[in-house]
Amino acid sequence: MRSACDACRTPLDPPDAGPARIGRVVLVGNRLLVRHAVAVAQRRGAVLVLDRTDDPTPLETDRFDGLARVPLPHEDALGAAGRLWVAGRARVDGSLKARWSDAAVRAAAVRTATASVGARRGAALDLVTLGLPDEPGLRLTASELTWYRARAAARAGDTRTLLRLLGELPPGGYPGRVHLLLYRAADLLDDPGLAERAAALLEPFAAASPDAQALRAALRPGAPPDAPDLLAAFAPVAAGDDPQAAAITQAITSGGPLPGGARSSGPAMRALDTRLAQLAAARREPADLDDEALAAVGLVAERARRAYLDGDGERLGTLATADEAVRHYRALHAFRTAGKVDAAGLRPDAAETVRRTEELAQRFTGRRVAAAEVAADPSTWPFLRANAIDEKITLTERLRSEYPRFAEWLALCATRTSLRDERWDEVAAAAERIAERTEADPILAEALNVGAYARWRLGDAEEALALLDRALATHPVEAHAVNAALVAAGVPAPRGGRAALPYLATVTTLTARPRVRQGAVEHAIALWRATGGGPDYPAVLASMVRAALAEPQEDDEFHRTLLELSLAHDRVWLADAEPVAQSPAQTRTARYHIARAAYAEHPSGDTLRGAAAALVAACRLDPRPDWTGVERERLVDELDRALDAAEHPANPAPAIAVLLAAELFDLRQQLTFAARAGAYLAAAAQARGQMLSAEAERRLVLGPLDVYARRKAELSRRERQAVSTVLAACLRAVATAMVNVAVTRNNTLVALWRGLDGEATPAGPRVLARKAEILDRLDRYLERCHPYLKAMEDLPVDDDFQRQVRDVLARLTAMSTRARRSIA
Amino acid sequence: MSEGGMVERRNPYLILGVPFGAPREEATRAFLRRTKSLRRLGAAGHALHTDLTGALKEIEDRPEPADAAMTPYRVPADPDLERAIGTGVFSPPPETLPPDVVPRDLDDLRAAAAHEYLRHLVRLRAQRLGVPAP
Repeated sequence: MRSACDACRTPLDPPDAGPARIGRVVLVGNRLLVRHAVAVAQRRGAVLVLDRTDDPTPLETDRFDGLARVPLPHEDALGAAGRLWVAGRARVDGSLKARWSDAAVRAAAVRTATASVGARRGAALDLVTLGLPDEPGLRLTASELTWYRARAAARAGDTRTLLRLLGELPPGGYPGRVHLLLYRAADLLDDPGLAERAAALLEPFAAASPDAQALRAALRPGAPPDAPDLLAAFAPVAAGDDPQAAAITQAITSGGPLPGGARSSGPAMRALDTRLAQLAAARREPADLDDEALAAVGLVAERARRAYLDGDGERLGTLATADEAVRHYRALHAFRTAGKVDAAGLRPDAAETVRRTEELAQRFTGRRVAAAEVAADPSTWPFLRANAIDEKITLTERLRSEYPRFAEWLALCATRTSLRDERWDEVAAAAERIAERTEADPILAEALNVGAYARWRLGDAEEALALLDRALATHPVEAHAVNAALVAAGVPAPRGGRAALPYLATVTTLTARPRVRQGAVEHAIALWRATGGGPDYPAVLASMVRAALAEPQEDDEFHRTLLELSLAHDRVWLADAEPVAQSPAQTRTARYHIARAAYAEHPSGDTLRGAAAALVAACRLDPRPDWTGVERERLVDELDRALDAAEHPANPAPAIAVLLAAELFDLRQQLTFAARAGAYLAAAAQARGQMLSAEAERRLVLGPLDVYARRKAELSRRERQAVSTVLAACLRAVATAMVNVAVTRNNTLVALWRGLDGEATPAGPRVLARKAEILDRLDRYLERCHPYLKAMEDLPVDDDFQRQVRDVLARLTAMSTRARRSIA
Repeated sequence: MSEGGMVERRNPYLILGVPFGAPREEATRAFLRRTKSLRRLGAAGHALHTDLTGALKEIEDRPEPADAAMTPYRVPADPDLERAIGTGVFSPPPETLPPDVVPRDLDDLRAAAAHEYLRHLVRLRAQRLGVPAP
């Protein structure tokens, strides 16, 4: 017997499944008559089985083991007693053919089940597994049976039943319930109601069981304050010596970033990680932290500093006055904006510097010697600028040698007075001296800049440019390039203004501001145009324009200027370019200019139609851009050329169709362009041996004639005369083409007719049917021509021509009529 | 046109003694400061006054932003030279958080993260334990 429970003295023997052979069903008998026997006991060297009767019969163990085994339901999950109960049930329901009785097997099961405490417990488990009622013979307590049922519920995933059964157990007993609850932790963590009930069940065990303690804490809806301690205690229990779990636990409980790829990094862990990263940055380099992050980590001093640097007094006012940094930066802000010194608010190490700065910044008569605090602190110098320019601030020799940079800065300021008074030689000499002495790049570059100005004003533009080139190389800022462009633009021909273009290109790369970039490009364009423009479009200007079109432009007019320039001088590039557009106006303007470039590079009906469609889109902008008027006239001229030229590469008709559909033409243009396009297409069709298509005829010839008839009163007398002349000419051209095609086709059809006459049976039904078809086709051609006779009557088409057409049509019609009679 | 070609004839900023791109208010202050002392110069003062007035008007009438135009010559070239050319009291370096200062919510965040990871470990342990023996 094992030890007993301290509380109730119940022996703690574990469940015993019993002998493995007992309860096994085997096949006995012979081939003709097979029987089922069941093992009910085991003795030395023999197994007792129930076979023909209820009296157990011994079988040698070896022989028993050699018999065929009959599988029973749940057999693997059961002990000896359980197998016997199953065998008994199988006997009752007929699935086993046996002569032994059910009662004999049940009695054997009870004997097996009560052989020991362990056997009783094993049998109880079998009862629970089989869903059988309690067996009084087992003499187990109700709580023990409840425990077995709870375990079965846990295994079945029935967490609600598990909680109910565990609730029926004595509150402090059965500590194994902690593991049962842990086994269903996933359900409990996902359901607050279940979690609360489980936490209550765990309470008595929390002090002694790390699992109970951890599970109870985990089941709480919110984080308990001692969660880091609980985690530190539980991590080794749960994860053993897993190094990543240990590292994560360490990071959470003691600070530091979470290991990369931390498992289960949920929102809380990420929030902690973020805050710890912000904290590390705040202690080392807070530049990348925004105001919200600074507030979160409590770095008020940096927030105050930034508000001060931004000159934002209002923001400074919102920060806590209790913070010494806030008071300090408010005092600096007050000095910078109002010149007031608030010594009480300033940090002690800054107060003297501010006081000394104030002495030299205020207006005073005579001269004052600068203090070391000011000479040593470049941030104070801007306050002194006015007095430094007026040369009112002096330096002792000691400070001059100790702070040479300040001395150079003062000297640089002093050149401003000479500049103002146009003492160019003095300025040049002073700038040269400063440039020779200084080791600070910004001061050197400025000395070169000032010296360059003086040289320029003295008439030495080449030397001025050389100095500015050096300044650009030393300290590249956009203004050096602007100044160099200014100087270079004044250089006489042959370089002239074009010498400034590379400097202006440098401006566009050095500046971060789009408006300045635009100014540089505009200036470059103006300088180039001032030198005559012409075909030698400079590559540097082309690059600037292309770059400007590749970035957003706020100014529509500037955007169009770039497109026009590219169309005129860089159209190969423009034809395939994809300029950035900021607005519908820019999009459509760009589309038109690209279409024009494409037409200029590859003239065709398609590209001309593309240009027309793009212009129509631009004209639909509200308000309609002014430039579209000029472009429309340009396009009309191009259409004129295409219609009139004998060998023009572009078919203008599709472009005209686009413009007609968009109603961009006035009435005069609408009628004349339509008719001209009709005549153009009719001639082209005739060249192919075809008539103008009925659709084109309606749209471009007959339709416009109707419109003219209805609306000619809207035209002035002179316009009417001009339009009717064009319409008459076009009508004549179209009629000529149509009748010519009809005559040509007639000749072909006559040849066909004669061929049919030579057939073996010229009066046969097949030949007659073919001849009828020929006449139908001829009549269709003639029908297409007849409307022109009527149309010409209302227009100034000469009578001879009308008569000729009428005669031809009459002759062909008469011929068709005769022929039709011949086959009737 | 001089020997070296075209040069700038007048620079309103240099005439008033203000940096290139100075705001109108600063130009006005400089104008007032300069004109105050002109009376005693007599006729020469008159001519200078005319110059200063013209310069102020030019600055007042300039399109904004001033540096979008490529004229006049810029002095100083680097505006930083007028603002601050180094760190110091008025251009302080970034402030950092002292090591003993801890964000107020750090304990709460730590507890929440610990709770979250504890729940994860509980699930992990449940998977590893399996169903307990009877």
